[in-house]
Amino acid sequence: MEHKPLARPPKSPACTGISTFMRLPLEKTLEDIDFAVCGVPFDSLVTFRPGTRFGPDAIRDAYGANLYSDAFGITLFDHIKGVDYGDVACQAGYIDYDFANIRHTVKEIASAGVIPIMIGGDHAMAYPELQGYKDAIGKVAILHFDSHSDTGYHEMPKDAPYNHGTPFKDAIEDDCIITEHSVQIGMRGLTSELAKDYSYAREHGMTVIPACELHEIGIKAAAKRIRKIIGDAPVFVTFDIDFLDPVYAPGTGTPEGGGFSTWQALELLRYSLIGKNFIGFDLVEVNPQYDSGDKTAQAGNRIAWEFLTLLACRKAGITKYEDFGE
Amino acid sequence: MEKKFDAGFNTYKSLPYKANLDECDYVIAGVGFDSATSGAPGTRFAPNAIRNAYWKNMGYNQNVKVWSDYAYGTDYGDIEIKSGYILPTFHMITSALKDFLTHGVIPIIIGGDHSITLPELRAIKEFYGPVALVHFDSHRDVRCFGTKYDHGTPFSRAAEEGLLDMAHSIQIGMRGGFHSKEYYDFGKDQGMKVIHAYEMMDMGADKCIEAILEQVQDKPCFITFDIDFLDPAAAPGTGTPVPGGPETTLARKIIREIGTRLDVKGFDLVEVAPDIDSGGLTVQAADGILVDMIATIAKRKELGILKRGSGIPLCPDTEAKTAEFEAANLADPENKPAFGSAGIHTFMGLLESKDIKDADAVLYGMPYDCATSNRPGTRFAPRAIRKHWGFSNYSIEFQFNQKENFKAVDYGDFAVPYQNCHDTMIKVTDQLRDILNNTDAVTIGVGGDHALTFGELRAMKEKYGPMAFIHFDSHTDTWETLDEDGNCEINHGTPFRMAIYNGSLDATHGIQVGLRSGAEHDHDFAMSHGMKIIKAHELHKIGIEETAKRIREAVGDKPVFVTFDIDFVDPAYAPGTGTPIIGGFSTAETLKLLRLALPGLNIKGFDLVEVAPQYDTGNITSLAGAAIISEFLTIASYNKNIANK
Repeated sequence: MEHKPLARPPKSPACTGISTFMRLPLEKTLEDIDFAVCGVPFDSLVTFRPGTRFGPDAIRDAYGANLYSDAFGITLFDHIKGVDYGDVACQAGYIDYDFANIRHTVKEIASAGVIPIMIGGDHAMAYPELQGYKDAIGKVAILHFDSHSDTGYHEMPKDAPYNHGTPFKDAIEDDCIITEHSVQIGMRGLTSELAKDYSYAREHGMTVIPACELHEIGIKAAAKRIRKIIGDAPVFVTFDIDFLDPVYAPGTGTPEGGGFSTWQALELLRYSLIGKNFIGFDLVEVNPQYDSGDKTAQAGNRIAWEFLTLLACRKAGITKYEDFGE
Repeated sequence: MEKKFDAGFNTYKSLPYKANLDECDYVIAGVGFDSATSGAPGTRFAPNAIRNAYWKNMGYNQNVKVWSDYAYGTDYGDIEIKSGYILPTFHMITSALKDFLTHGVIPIIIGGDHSITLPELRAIKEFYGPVALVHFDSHRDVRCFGTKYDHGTPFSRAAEEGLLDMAHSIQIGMRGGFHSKEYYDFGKDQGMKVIHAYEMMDMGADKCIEAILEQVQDKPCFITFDIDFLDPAAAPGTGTPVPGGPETTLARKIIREIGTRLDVKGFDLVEVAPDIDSGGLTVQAADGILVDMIATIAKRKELGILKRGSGIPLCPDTEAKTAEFEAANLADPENKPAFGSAGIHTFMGLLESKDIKDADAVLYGMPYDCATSNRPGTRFAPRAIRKHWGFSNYSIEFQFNQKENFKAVDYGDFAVPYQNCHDTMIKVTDQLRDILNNTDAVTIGVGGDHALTFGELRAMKEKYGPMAFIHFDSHTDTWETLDEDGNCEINHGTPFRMAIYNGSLDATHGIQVGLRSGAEHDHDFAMSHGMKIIKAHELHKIGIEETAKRIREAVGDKPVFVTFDIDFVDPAYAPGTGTPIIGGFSTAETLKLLRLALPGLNIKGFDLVEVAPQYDTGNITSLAGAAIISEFLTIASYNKNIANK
């Protein structure tokens, strides 16, 4: 089977056929492909509005017909091949089971030299993802788009140690992150004694660019900083949809105003990551139950797609977006 | 006891916040736990949504004929939980309930998903011994495989742990997720009684009340009410709705009558998910049930038959036993998800395949809506319907394993060119012909708008000759729409005039059912070709049994095509359609009619058309569509495995 988006039947509506990401073939293979898109229908560790278990469905269903990147002038599937790998098995309320499956799946995909594109799911899944990367290729840096730092906000009880506000603290404690090459960007939500001034992240060597700073310095300047910090490190890009302003992404469990547009997000991705050593991607916290006109699912679909264009650029030898005075 | 209206926040019906339990008859508490739900989560928001519902006082209950204030109650706020963590939460729930029970009060718990009833029952058993269960739900919740603790297992676990007086327990309203004969039979050998939804709808409230009272007698009991007992039209805001249930009237009547007579030791109301509700319907329904429940406590108090708990545990070893069961269950290697999912949605979770040679039923989608006269959007129906399950392993109405010796496949969607309706008809005919050339399976098409049926009938005729015809709809679809040359044009109002013209339909063996709109001459046209018509008006008068009989007589043993327009169903039950007409039928009535009319007929093909998800509320229309398709599959399997043997 050709690992490219399947052609739509002639003249038939875009919603024709069984729904997969970008109409990619649904196939559990890792041979001769560059990326595998995999859903994680998981929302057991959401602190406020649950429903991200339906995120993968909604993102697969979202209208997204782009095959050509205007930004880079390439046709994606001239350069890359991939599959929809289906969903990771998840069972609500069985965290250990879910975490083990997520870790195993990421490890399986990454070990095969294939880029995992994980579609969440709540952000707690980033911890087992990072464990999976560590198993497969060792510690990685993170580039983390979010409105929250997710490095813990209060002491967690022993019998309930995780929630979707703790994954990066958990991963740092488990020594999964190359913190000195890691950046968190867009933070503006929920602070507490523990999370004040993003002290946990900063004390452990990560760079935090809060929303107020990003608004102040602008996308290009931020991208320059990011590129410098991540250097040549292998980078896991983790994108919480609530990085976007609720105007652009209402369908999420813990939205925070004062965020960014979809265009800003795409530009920031492109400027920051073109030519860099990214090794995996996730897109989390899309919650279709609170969406309006599918726009959050659409945004999630398009951001994951943008990541694929960056991968296509790597394969095509394109290493620059625009000359922005780096 | 004096009421305090200045708690600073809403308590349930302005009840005093954390009053002295020794002075109270009942205590309200919320459990916002939804981490063990298999469908849509969100019941964590139910306690506060229900506290905020409608009237802030109860006053005189006209139905129970009692001042509700005669029973003293208090709102204890929400029981602390650990979201995402089932067992730690269970222990917190049991412990909170035990605190209540030491004061002899009746706990009234607002869930939460249904998993929380298990830890409640542990506390109840500790104080009162095994209790009779009175369980309103669309699911039995007695699953015996897969994960041990979730919202599909509370009563298999409770039975195993000895928390229930099975011989006096009863479940009512059951209709969803019967995955095996074992599930169907669970507990019956120990005397547990089950009234399935289809039986309940025939029995009516009074006979149900009789049956419950007879089963429970004077035993101490626990009433648990899952809001999905109600039909999705009455309670869309829930995670796992199942069509074919009752409206609130029946539920509240039963609660009032049994509540005033039974020795109720505790009550819970679970599975309300306010954020996926529509117009506050579900919260309102839940509130009404709670209000009536509380009135029955007042009534029993007034009558002097309310028994206060002693506050002394009858079975103090319950907690130790719980620990034993938990240890054994968690070590069980089978403690894995009950249902796998690849993340890709096919009709009823069936295999997606173009290999149909040995199939018994072939399902295909037709995402086409360009022949619609009013609101378009049925192109999204195949995808929306694929999101629902419903075709379970065991048929409760026909009582057989319907997936055994029965292979059904999802053939995917037809290519349906949307620029030109004539092209579409040709393409539909071509693609269905391909299927019919390769298999003798029953075909089930999922529209799309009703014009598609014309394309399907042309292919059917090539194989089987002019088709006998059963047509459920609110419209005749035999309009005359003429082009400039005076020929009838195809659109979603004309397919059957066209099919009669071209000989695809054997109108002398045709019958149209449920019609309630259109012009007189449309009916005349059909009837002049021998078609029988049972309008909605007549169906309401003669009833479902008689209608089913007439349908069977009309088609005889001819090869039949069954076409079902979702707007046959009333817009209260199926709002998501392009041309809804009120005065229709409930999903329970619809499914019953299909069940009585269709088994044993020589059915070659079905279709289900006109679901328009964009006009839907709470997905109830696509859910009703899925239930109808599931019924088609049941009948196809019944015809193969039972009727023809």
